[in-house]
Amino acid sequence: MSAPIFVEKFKVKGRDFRHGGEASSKIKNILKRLGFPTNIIRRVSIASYEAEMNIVAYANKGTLTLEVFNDKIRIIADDEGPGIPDVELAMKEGYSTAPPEIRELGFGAGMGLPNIKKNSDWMNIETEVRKGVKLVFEVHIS
Amino acid sequence: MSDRWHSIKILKDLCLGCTHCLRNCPTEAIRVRNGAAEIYDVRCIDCGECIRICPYEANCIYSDSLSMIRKFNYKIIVIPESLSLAMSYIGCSYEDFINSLLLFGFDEVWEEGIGGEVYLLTLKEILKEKRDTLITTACPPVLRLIQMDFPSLIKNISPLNSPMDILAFYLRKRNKDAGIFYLSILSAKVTTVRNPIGIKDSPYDAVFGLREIFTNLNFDKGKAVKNFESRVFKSGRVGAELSIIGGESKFLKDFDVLSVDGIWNVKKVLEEMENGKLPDLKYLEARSCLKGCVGGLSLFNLNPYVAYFKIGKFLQERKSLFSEVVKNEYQKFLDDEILYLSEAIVPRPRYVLSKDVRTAVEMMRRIEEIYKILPKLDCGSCGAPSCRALAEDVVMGKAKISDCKFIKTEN
Repeated sequence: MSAPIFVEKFKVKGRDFRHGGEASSKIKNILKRLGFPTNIIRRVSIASYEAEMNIVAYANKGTLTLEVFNDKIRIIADDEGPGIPDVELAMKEGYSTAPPEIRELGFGAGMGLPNIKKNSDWMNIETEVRKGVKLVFEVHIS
Repeated sequence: MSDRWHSIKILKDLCLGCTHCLRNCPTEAIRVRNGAAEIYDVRCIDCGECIRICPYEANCIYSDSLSMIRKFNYKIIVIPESLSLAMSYIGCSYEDFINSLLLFGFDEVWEEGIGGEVYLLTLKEILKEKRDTLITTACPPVLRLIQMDFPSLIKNISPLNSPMDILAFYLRKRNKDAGIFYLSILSAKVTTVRNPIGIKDSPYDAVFGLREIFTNLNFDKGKAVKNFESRVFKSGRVGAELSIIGGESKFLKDFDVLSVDGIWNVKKVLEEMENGKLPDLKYLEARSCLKGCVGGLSLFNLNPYVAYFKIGKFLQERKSLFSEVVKNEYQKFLDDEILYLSEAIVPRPRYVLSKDVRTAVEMMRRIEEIYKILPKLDCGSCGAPSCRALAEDVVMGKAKISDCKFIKTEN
């Protein structure tokens, strides 16, 4: 497998809703500068925003990494947190373990992971309960 | 007309090279070079934020010369309702002002809101059918911002001509040989006449700025004009209310409409839309100026909130919802050439570093490297609006790292 031609890593703080979304916004700005087609940028933006907000809402801390390849864009969302006990259940639309205080902020509607899946061409979740989640997804440039 | 044409000009003699406009430009279009501000034409959206913030009045808005109306036998001028406010500042009533326009030589005066009434009536029918979100075409800087920063939202732009253009296309059909002019209180609408979006040519023959009108018109009070009533066409309340934020949403109250004013707020909302955070939104009423067009009166140092308050009284006096023209002749507006944009709105991404992805990646890497050593104070002393903008300018060959005052002293 070829190496990425561009890599940039962003730190994401857990429970920091004030700054939540900044990493994915920076990723979007980089992709715009690199001149990718708007539909590609839109899909990466939506999916990376969801991934970032998952870290903010559930984890203690994490990182969002952008990897640009010749033929695809890969985002790695890596966090230290509670992990996902049942990935299959978490992939169902509307399923959420978010507590009420997070739902009050407009998050935790159970659309995060399904939305990432919908907007990416490939995704994978590795998780260990009480350790964290490593979510990787790719958007292919055809 | 070149797509680089803009109405805002910097007066180098008056510009001190301070950083007010630099840091208040929503598209980072301004740089200070050799002691004076410069505008990057490809990035300017003509919102006029720089004009409003400048303490030295070092910028001006282009205007065609009023003398050019003499080329036409029959002259029609379209004016925005928010002008009524400007008049109170020079101690002239709105009626007297319209009277002065007629005395000056215009044959008819039309209020822009008449086009707005048709825009809204047509839009309502479109929204009933449409499932996606639509974005207003009434505010040109919003459209330019979308072209540049949010090209994925171009497909959401309303298919309708802007209210001012709907009216002008109608007037053109009505009177083929007439000269049709627009009196603009804003930089953005001057630009849109000279350099329109979504249509090939503007239906207007010329556009005049407020300053041009004020310096040339004789404000003779009380001098009666023949057939005043039949030569002045006023909008109803629905049309007149398009001059304030919330005017569109008030008329479209049966739909989910988000109203946002102020270009910085507009940027944030478009960002949310692009991130898929507003899926149920039906219509976006967005205005570059705070409180809507009325907040944009650029010739006066008029606070947008005060302007909004003051125009409220004027709007209340419009008892009828629609103008006489729309009540009697609405059918005549129902013509594709009058109602709809005729050309595709193209993306104009301002960010793309290079057409070749590999070159762009290499440049991006150097931008990140340079950015890391900059102080991140975003002070503007280097002439760029932020440290990141300087890093980009350096890589684009438009600036030097040593422009940064902090790096200079450290070495």
